[in-house]
Amino acid sequence: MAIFVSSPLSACIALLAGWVLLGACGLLRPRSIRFAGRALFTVGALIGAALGALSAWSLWTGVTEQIVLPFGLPDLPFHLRLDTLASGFLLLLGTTSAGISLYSAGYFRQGEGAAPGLLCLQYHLFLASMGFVLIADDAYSFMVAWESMAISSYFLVTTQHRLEEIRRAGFLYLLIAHVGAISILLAFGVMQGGSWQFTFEAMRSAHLSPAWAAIAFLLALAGFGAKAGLVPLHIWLPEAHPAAPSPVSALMSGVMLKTAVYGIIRVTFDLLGAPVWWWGLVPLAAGLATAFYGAVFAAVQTDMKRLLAYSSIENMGLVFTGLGLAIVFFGTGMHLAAALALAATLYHSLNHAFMKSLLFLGTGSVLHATGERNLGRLGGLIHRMPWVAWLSLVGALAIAGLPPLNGFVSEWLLLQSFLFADQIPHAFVSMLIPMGAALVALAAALAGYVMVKFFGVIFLGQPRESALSRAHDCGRLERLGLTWLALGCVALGLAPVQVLAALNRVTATLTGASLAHQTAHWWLLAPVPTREVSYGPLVFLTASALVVALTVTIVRLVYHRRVRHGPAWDCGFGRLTARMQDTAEGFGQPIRNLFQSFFRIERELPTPFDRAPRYRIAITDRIWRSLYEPLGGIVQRLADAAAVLQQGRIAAYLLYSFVTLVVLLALALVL
Amino acid sequence: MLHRILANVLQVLTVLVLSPLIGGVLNRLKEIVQAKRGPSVLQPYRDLWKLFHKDEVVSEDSSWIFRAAPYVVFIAPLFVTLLIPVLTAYPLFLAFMADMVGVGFILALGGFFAALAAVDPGNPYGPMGASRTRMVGFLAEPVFVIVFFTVSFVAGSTIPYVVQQQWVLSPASFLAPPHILLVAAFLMLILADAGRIPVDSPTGHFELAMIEESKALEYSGRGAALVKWGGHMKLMVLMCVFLNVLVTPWGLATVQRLRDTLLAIPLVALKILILILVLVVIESSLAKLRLFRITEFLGAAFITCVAAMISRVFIS
Repeated sequence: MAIFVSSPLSACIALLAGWVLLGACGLLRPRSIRFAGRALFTVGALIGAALGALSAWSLWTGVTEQIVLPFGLPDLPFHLRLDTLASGFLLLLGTTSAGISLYSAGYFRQGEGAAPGLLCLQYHLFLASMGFVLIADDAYSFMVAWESMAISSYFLVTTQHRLEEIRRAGFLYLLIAHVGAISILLAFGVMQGGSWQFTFEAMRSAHLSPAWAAIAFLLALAGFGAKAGLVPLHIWLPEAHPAAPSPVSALMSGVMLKTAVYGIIRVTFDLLGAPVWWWGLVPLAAGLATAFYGAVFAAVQTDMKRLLAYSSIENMGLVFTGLGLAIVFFGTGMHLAAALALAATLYHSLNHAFMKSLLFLGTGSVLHATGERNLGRLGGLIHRMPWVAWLSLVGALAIAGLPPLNGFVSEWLLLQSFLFADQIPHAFVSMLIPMGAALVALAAALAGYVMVKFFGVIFLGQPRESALSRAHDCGRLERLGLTWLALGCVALGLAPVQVLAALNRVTATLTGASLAHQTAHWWLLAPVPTREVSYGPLVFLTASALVVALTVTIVRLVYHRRVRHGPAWDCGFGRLTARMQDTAEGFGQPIRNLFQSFFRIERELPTPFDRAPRYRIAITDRIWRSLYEPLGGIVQRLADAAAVLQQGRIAAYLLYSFVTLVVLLALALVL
Repeated sequence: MLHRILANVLQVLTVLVLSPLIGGVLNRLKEIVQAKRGPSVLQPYRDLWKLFHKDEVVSEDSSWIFRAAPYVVFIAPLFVTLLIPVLTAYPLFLAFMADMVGVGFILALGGFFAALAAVDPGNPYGPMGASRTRMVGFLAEPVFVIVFFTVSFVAGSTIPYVVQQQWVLSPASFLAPPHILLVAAFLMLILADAGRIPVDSPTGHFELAMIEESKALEYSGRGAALVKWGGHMKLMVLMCVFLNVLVTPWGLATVQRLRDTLLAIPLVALKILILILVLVVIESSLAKLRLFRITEFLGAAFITCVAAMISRVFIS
């Protein structure tokens, strides 16, 4: 306990090392689901909760602490540092992973892909490497942690590596992760600014020319954007997320994507220090495009996990929108507005971690209960799986941005920070940026549409397949994990003042401006001291509970008629079957129609004379065709051209060495 | 203190009691314009009365969501009433609990549950209506945000009461182009959000062409009554925001006196009546749009309010 107080960073390192150790324990009895699955994952959840508590405490006290560990390169040992930004994201990692680990303890079964012990190792390495990404304080340890995160998650994605499509998804993921990593590495290379010191401390004090600083920022944005799934680097997300087991999808979507947010905030506001306002326009535009793109694609998906993956893309778009706004405001000297936008960014990251993990885990339970991922074969599960349905509904309401849950608060804060746009001293920018708010609203409303579809098609209506009647609710540990995350969603929604006060510690150190700290009303969120805007969810909830109770009582008192149960209204047709219900495709049809130009649609329609009529529709990303396939072609051609050198004969290779030697000698002579 | 509680209760009661009348008057006037006699203006009350005295039939496949949704639909506009100026120009208790974005999202909460409830019974028509209403809903959302942005750029706040105060104090900007454009855009928004012609026909009875109505197709008895009443109140709440905040911010009680608050009721009713006349003209002279032409309608609304926002920069 004492170490918590005296040195939170060492406690944090100990907890992360605990995760690594726990993972290694999994190898002791790799085949035992009871030991590696149930027991170790539960301990992992406890470590997560401890990490959450620790980082909450260090965030609250605002400690900054540095430690140099004696590993690493000879002249560059591992530098680690805990500051408010790192604490904020560690809090996200700890609290979310506690719920996910608890769920995982009940989730993994025998005979699903890799052995449970191996999964346990990869899973906890993944967690620990995410933690180390957040506390790394030099480029080397950051990249080591970043890469171990990518590789451990690659193995988790390809758990069921016997399936061809999963191997493909894994490869795509690894490829984009590495393209991104190269970009980040180059950004660090630029940021050391000629000092050849790769500690973050040196980067903070390095003086870059404006052009180089901009290049470093854009490289970092590309690198972290690849991890976050910004358009057009998003294509790995809808492939990798459905391929992974559900707890892993939850972890990737809920937590790993946030390390990218952490990275870009760290680089922009801390390492580069003084961002120029126009930099912000890039993440702003990219974020808005991503949010819109993700929402539109989510609406037409028929695979529940793909749908959620696209929804993650949308949410990351919103997060990057907030970040772009923060940079624009900060660069134009509007520090308070920058603090608000940054707080919205962080808040939304935290919210998304909880709600998306919750929904992904919900799909995991549905998948286990029914063996079905296709929305077209689900339905009516609310009767069979009441717990999962209830808790998923919380997640769906939260992600649709409806009050009084958490999604609303961060979207509200984001819109509020858009309201500062008219004070930007650049005429056209100040007129254009409010249009961005319209796009945010459109994306948020589309998210509501997507969630009606997601929840409605899976849990409501009649079961579309007879096999669904054998579905069962999730186990006790899974239920606990889901409840934890759902409670997080509720708490983040009901206590925005407290959450914002905590986030204020992060944003105040980064932007130098403090959001409203008047604690007079602990129940009324009024983030901007100069404006009359406020939101009081607790009062909202109490008042609406009161009104609901009143209405229900009155209606009960007034209404004395019977309630009969009967079949659904069929307009006199008389032969309705469950298959006649609207499908996921049907539900998304208006979107498909409105945004036709976004999709590449392949349709196979039956003719009237078909004996076995078949209707098939495939909706794919245009970007895949127009960007990635040509790019792949170019790489292939370059590789073919290079292959000419590969003769496969020793004599040829000897000749190459000889020629190289001669050329080098000649160069040495000339210079 | 006591007076504010009274004003709050009065405000809620006004919306609760008067909202069905709006539908009744609107229908009657429309029928008169179309050279018919039309039902009594009290017909909506009779409908509600009738529905409250009928058995409720619930689909065997439905869940608690189906039974809970009418309450949410009923309460969402009622709750919004506590946030907006209906009768009083001074802020009431809950005025600062949520702003205009909050108002929009609370109404969306009702829409969300109504859509879920439409999917719940396993009726093939419900999800179609749900999907279409959500479509109109998300197309209207950007318009809503731009309108509210333009307004709050002027007032420096997004709380309806504060915005209302702002307009009262600056009557000169009333005839300025941005304000007129804004009013036009918001009117189009009301038509879309409340499911009126030309976006949706509230009197249509053909399941395949319905938007708003097909969501409530499965309801009977108590559920149907609550959903219908909720729809009436939603229209009235939207009208109140439109009239009391944007178009005519006058005529509300400015002093905390019961007499003033009571006096505000007929004044607000008069304003609503004028708006109803406008709606009658619109609804009698336009036809319902095809489903995928609604995009164009809301696109026009969007361009209008964007024009309002941009012209604001040049005026000031």
